[in-house]
Amino acid sequence: MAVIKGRDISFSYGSGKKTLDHASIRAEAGELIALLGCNGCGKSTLVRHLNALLPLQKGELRVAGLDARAQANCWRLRRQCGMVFQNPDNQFVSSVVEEDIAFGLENYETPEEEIPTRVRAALAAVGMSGFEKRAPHLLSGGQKQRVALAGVLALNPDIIVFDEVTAMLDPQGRREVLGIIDRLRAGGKKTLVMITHYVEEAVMADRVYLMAGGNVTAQGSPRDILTDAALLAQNGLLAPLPVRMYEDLKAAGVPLERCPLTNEELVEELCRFA
Amino acid sequence: MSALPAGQFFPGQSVLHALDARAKLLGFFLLLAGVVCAASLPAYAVAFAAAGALLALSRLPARAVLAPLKRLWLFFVLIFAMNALFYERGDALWSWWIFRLSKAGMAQGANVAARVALMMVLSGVLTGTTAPMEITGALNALFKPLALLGIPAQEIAMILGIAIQFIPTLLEETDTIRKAQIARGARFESRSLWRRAASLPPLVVPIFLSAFRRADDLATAMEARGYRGAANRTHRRARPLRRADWFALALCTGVCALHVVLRVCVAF
Repeated sequence: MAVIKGRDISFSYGSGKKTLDHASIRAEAGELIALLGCNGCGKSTLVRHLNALLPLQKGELRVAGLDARAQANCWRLRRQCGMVFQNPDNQFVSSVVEEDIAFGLENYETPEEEIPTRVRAALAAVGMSGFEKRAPHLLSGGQKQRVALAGVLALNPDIIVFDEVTAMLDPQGRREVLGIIDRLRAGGKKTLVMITHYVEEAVMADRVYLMAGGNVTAQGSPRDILTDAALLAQNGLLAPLPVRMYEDLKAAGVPLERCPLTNEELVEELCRFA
Repeated sequence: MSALPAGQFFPGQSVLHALDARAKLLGFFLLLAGVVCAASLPAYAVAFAAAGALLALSRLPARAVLAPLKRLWLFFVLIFAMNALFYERGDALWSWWIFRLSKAGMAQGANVAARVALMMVLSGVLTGTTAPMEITGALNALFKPLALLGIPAQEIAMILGIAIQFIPTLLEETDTIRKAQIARGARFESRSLWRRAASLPPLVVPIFLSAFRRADDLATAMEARGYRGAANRTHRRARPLRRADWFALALCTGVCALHVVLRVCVAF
């Protein structure tokens, strides 16, 4: 069942130039979809329609069964579709972790007695139990982003959008956050939308959308999209390292049996060849 | 960052941490009123003793609370010098051109510097022992009557809470921009006042731009988390003030009253 169903969405910020130009998106329940594209291609603009942060100007969009065009659905959409942003420092409203996580719950008038339990559960879900009284600005980048994610998880949304959440993190922080996204995906209860510049991160998705010039230029399984180096290059992206190695080896007269998508697959192919 | 930022909350188990935020906020305003009244040596002795006792009771790291005073030493010297040299009342001890040094001026300078220092210590103890959302909640409760006059009291409380939370981030940003400018030849440490002044705009402009960008991002993030204004939020039930809260308020009222008496009865 499609949880996100968007067709021909167009949007302009007012300058006349279309930031989105007939973009379409679809996600099934429990699926992880990745949106790949260069800066300014409209990825963030598209996902900001999912929770009504931007009004739908043209096209059709239904999220969790709610029509995004209806103004009355605005707050229900935000409840159903949580969003984690790129810079965790710009998401915190309190200088105490537990209070920051409670912020969203209070906005939806959650009974006061329920709040501490839900805050603790959200922190446990991101592996941050015991950090309740800590100041967010004193945490590492990865920990900050996990707290931001806990703020969203506490609301128990059906859909979670990750808007370049690893862009400002070091490798360790990226691993931590990606590990949580992977666990959520494995749980199968949430529909996840991940915007990223890193093609390697898109490998974990069930479906990949390529975007350029405000439109979706290609979509398919990670294997279909990410092993097509020419398609990625057309969209201003570089293929993952194993794919590039496969292409280089092929050019050097060392053809592997199949194009590997991950480092593990590359090792497997090389071992088979040897 | 080399120093802890002003306004930092330190979680703890002290007597002051346990007090209700409304009692602390009211007590803080009473003590501030007392400090403003202070104008004699006994009055300042009382005020400094009260501030010292609160700092000890809070079990906060004294260095962190007093650090802002150290950072602003030049400001204190300037306040004292301006008052000492430009105060018009009292007999002049020495005068030249527009400068006029007087005993009354020095007393006034010491007065102002001491009041500012005391206010900073008291506010450091308040923010150090009270979580920002507790302060927001207390301001909400105390500002409630203003809502009857159409003043958006809850929004004001929320703005204050967020402003406190953004202090460390903006200080960190300032430090980063400052280092970047130093790497490109800015002379913030120069002895020449002119050069230091000239190096400020390249620091201030990016800080403001960054603050606006952050404010924009934060507003989007708050909307995404369902913020619709303070009226549509969970209202934490205000628990009645306990005996300890009333006792603390009575003590603060007593100190404030003592200041008023000293103001009336004792000259500097």
